[in-house]
Amino acid sequence: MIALAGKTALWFAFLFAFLQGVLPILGSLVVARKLKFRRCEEIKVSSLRGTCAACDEAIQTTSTWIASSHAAHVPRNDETLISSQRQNVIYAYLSAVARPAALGQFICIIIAYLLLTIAFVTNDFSIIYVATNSHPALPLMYRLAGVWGGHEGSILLWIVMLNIWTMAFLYTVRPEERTQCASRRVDDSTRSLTLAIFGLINFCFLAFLIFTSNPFLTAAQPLIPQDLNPLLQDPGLVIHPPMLYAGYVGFSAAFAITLAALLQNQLNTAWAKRTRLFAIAAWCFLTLGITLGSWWAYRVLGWGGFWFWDPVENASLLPWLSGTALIHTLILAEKRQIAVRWAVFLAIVTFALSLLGTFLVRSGILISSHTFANDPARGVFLLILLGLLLFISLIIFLWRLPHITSSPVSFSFLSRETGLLMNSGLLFTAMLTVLLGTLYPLIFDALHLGAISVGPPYFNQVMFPLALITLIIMMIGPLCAWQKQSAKLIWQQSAKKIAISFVVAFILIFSITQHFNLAAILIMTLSFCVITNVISFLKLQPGMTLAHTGFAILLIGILLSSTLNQERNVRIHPGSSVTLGPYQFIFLDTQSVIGPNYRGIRAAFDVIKNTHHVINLYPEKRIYTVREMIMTKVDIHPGIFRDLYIALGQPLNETDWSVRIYYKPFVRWIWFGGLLMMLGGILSITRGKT
Amino acid sequence: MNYIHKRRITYVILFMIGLTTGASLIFYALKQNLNAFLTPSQIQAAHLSHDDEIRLGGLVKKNSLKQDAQTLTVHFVMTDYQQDINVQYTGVLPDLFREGKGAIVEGKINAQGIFVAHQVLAKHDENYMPPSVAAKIRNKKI
Repeated sequence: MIALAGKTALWFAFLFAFLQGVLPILGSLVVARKLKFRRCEEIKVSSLRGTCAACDEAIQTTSTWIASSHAAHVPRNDETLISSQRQNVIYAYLSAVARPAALGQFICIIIAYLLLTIAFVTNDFSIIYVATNSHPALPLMYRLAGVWGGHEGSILLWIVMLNIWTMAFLYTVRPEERTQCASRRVDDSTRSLTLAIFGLINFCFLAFLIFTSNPFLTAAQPLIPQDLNPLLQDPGLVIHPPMLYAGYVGFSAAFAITLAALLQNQLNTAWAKRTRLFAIAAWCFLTLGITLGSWWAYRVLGWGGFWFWDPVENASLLPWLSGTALIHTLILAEKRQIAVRWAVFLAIVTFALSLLGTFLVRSGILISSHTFANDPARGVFLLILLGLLLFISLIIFLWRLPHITSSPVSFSFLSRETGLLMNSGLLFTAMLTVLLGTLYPLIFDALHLGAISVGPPYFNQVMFPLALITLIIMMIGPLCAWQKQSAKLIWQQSAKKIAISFVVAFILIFSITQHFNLAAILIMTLSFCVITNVISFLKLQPGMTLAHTGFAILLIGILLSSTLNQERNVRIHPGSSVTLGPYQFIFLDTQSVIGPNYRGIRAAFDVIKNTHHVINLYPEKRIYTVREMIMTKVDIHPGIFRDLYIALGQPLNETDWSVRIYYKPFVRWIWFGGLLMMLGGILSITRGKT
Repeated sequence: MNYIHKRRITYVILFMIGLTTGASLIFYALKQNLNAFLTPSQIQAAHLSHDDEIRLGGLVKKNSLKQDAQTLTVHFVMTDYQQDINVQYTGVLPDLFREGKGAIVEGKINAQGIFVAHQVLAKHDENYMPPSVAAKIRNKKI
């Protein structure tokens, strides 16, 4: 019953996506005059500025060539005027479908999602997807979150997020003239076109869902429930995927708005502002998603690491890097009307990267602990989809490229413009290196050059110099004014701060490691400099200040936790103790423990510092009975300045166990930095001047 | 040539320098850090030196796992049904490590021909094996 209702809801959503996506585009093609531009015969260009006599639109360009090919709208000709009126009517009717179709699709998809959740909660095991990802003994929280635990459900979540962003667009960007803010007011045709692009993306993903990964497929008789993968049975599952997907999908909003503006030649300040707001919102979610993912991996995987340069982790980092470049470039586009073409290109690339991420995770071509087990047919479908979307958007970009104009401003070498452009360059370079490292093994394999793997050393080696240069630019950039900044002023402002930062960093690193570690001192100095330079902007630009501070804290956290952490793999029996840093870990005893869908052994550890008791830790070793899978449940004592982390290994004989103990200072600063960045992004949206 | 053209040429030159430097650094880093995936037969055939960092993929031979009585050291045998390699590892084995299942070990071969592993990996899917290794095993298995 639920399955049937679910399938019906999906098909209706599919139909609505078709209406939303295809009809307005047909309408736009019919009204070719609105999209296709013809050479204006009556251009009057004086020096570098002019007005098109046909449409009275101002032209600003640095090139007379562009001025002479500026597009005109409707030529003054009565006969064509009437036919264009008829076409306008057709267009109006066809685009009027967009908004109701978007609403209808949203409702249908939410119904489908709720039906799947109900199937999970009521343990309807006639549905194959529910049977492979749930169990009656599974706690309710994991049954609710298990909806997105497998491949089909996660695609459904993707589509739900896409619809939520479409609704967000629909209700924050309106065609009313009463709206004060220019970025919220948009021509009805632009809105329909944007909705159409959303609809097309939705249509493709719904096709993928319904035809290759339908979550509502039923079996002839109820199946034996296989329980959710034990590694997913953690609170992390409840928040990480939705936040991550909200971020991924949010960049489709920036993409759709940009593509619509591109097609209609509306790449103006209002477009830049609108895209920037949506891009920052998506970026906030993505930052939160990645931070949560890192925290979850730290807690569950048992190796004490927070980032493994796993291909799937890289797949989420790529749109983040590109998205950060996009946000900064859009500032340029909005405030100075330069780098417009680059901003459009970045918007397309960011969306393509988030699609690439989706593809990599599900296609079965990657070897990773994060991938969904899958058959290659789905991978091919997604690859074709990705290829088509990317190809078409790039073709449109190239086609419209001559019509995008930038202001003829000039700026000196030391200015905010340079800072933002260099930021773009660096982040794009970082993105390309991570992309290369992730795809290299796949390329090698595809060309039959052998089986290789690219591991963390490569990524750490290439990211380090990039991080260094980024820090230097972050240190100077916010202090620079637009167009021209005197270097002497910056030096006067920051010299003392740089000196103090260096001294503090030097003392800190030296006292902790007793070594003169140049790299560490450099990064620490620069991070401190970034913070001290930017903190004075807290009142004026709280978003920027918090986000940059968060990034600096993130780097400090990574640096300190990597240099200072201590790890011991030991073989111990009850009564013995291990010393790590200032702490002593005493192994007390073990006892068996029974949970809702597992049984296991829990070890008790006493943690002592300087003869005074700190905490008791209880790491466990569990067997999840349904899948007969062994899992290690780590116990952590979190702290602002250090984490204590114990993971059980295996029982080596009747009394002995192998155990991993970690002392990890400053590791929480990594996620704190990530959260600060997200907070900075939120403040940018809410406190930005409209 | 006016100042706009001069500036453009400067930008292009800077960009090319940056691109070349970046590309060479990246490929240098890549070359240093590529780990080849090898099977036991390939390792026997390749005569690798004792300094090479190797990733070995294969099956853990049944009944070959021996735990040292006092320490954390284990000895086991990795096989691809053609050749066997003795592996020694000191540390905590991952949960999914089993005899008869696939694993990947990273390390070096010492003077005695024993593969001294510094890392042992097993995927969170019990039937994991690197596809190339699985293909080879499928092709040669009796």
